[in-house]
Amino acid sequence: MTYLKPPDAAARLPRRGFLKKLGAIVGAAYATGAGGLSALGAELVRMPFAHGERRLARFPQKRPLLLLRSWPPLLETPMSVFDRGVFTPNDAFYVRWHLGHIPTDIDVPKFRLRIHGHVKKPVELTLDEIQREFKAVELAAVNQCSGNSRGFFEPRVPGGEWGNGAMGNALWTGVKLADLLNRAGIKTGAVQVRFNGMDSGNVAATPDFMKSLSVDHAMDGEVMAAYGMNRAALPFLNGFPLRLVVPGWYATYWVKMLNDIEVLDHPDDNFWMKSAYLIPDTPGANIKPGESAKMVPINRMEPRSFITNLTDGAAVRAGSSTEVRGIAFGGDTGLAKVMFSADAGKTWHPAHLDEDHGKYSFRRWSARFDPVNPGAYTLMSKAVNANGVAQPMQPNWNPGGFMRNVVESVRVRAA
Amino acid sequence: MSRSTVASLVVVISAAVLLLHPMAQAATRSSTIVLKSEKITLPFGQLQFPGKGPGAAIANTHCAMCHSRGFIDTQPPLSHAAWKAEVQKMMSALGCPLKPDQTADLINFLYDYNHRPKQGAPGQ
Repeated sequence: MTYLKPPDAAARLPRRGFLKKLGAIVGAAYATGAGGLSALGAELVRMPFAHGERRLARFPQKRPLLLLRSWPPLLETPMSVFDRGVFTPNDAFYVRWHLGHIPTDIDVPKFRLRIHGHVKKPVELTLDEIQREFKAVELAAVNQCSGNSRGFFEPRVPGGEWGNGAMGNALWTGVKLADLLNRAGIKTGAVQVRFNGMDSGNVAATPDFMKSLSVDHAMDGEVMAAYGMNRAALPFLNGFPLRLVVPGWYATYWVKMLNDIEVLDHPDDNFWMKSAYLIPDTPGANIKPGESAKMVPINRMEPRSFITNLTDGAAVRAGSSTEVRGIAFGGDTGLAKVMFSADAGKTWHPAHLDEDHGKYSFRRWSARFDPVNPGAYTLMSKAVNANGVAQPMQPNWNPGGFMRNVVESVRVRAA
Repeated sequence: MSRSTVASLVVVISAAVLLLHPMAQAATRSSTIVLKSEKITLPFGQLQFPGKGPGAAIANTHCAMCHSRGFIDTQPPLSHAAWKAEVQKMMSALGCPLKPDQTADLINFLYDYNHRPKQGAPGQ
C-alpha cells in the first residue's frame, strides 16, 4: 500500500514512518499546513442546523466561500450570489472533491484525453485538437451536487453538510461527447461509457473516482466535454482543463479534470457507481428512516426554486409593494412556471419569468408581495417543470441525503 | 418599394439582428477561450485533533491520511452506531488501513468529539 502523504503534513504526524514519502511530488504545490488559510479572518457564518458554523475561506481563483472542509476541498456558494444574476460567476462557483490527491499543476501542451476500451480505434487528443478539430457548442446548465441541502435533512445524515449553495449555473463551452466517441468509434456490444479524472486517492487502496453513463445517454448530443465556463477557462477547482457536462443530471456525473473515457462492454461495477450515490427507487427518492428500498444510481434532477433577495427575518413595509425575486430550474427539463405564495402555501400566484437561457439553466423570476397588514408572513416559491413535476410541500428523506427539493420558505415581517 | 428591395432589406435586417444577438456573438467568442498551463497551491487545513487519548492518535494518523479535520467538525450530531458505520465504510470501501483492534478506540473518540459540549469554531 502506498500513502501519498505530503511532507509538511507527514512531518506533523507522530507516526511518520507509517507514511511513504512521495510527498515531493504530491505535496510541493500545497501550502504548508493551515497557512494557506491564514487570510481567512474570523468571520463565521451560521447555517440554520446543528454544527452549521462555517468559515469564509479563500481558495485559488475563488472569492471567499463557505468552508466545509479544506482537504479535499468542499466550498459552498453563499446564497446571496444567486441574487446577482442568472449565471454563477466562476470565482463564486461551489467546489466539491472526493479524493485526496488533486493535481495542482497542469501543463496544457502535455494534457491528453484518452478514449479507449470497447472502441474501433483508441485515440488520444490534446486540448488544442479538441478545440480545433471538433465543433464548439455552448449550453447553459445547472450543476448541482447530489447532496445539495443535505444539512437540512431531518433526521440528519452524515456527509458533506451543505446548505442550499452546492449548485451553480454556467454557460459551458466545449465539444459534444458524441463527436469525441465517434472519433474512436464505439463497437457493437458497448453498454456504458466510463469517465475518469486526474484526481486519485491519497491511499492506494482508495477506489478511483469514476462515473458511467449508458451509451445512449453518452451519445445523445447534449452531454459535453467542456473547456469553457462562462466564456473563460474552468477554474482549477471546477475541473480545469476539461470536465464532463451532463445537462439535467446531478453533478456527480460531471467528472472534473476529465482525461480518460473508457467504453465498457459490461455494466460498470466500480464503487462510485455500485455502492455510492445510490438513491431509493421511489418517487422523489423518498423513504422513511429505517425503511429499506431498492437502491439505484442517482440520475436526473428535480425542479427547485429559491427566493434570493429576502432572507429569514427580513423586514418589509406594510401597505406597500415589495419585489420578491429568485431563481428556479426545471431539473431534467425546462421550467414551465414558478408559483409564489405569501401565505405559507394557502394561495399561489404565477411569478413573472425572466429571460429563458435554455431548459437546463437557472431562470430568474419575480413576484410582487403586497402585505396590507403588519405582521409575520411566510413566503414560498414552487417550481413546476415542463413534465408537470412540481416541488413537493413535504421534504424527502433518504440515508444518503440526496435530491432535496422541497418548497422553500422565507419568513419575513411587515411593519 | 419593390419586392426585391423589401427582400434585401429583410436580409440586411436579419443579418444585423443575428450579429447583434448574444448567441451569435457567443459563436465567435467561444473559440477564443484560451487554455494556459496553470499551477495552484492548495491548503491542507487542519489535520490534528485535540486530545491525547488513543482514539485521537488514531484519528491524527488515519483520518488525516485522506481528509482534513473540517469534515468531522461539520458533521451533525451522529449516533454511536452511525460513527461505527462511517469508520467501517472508510475501512471496507475507501481503503483506510485501520486495524480491527483500533476501531473501538476511534469510534469512541469520534462519538465523544462529535458530542463535546463546547464545539467552538469548526476546524478547517
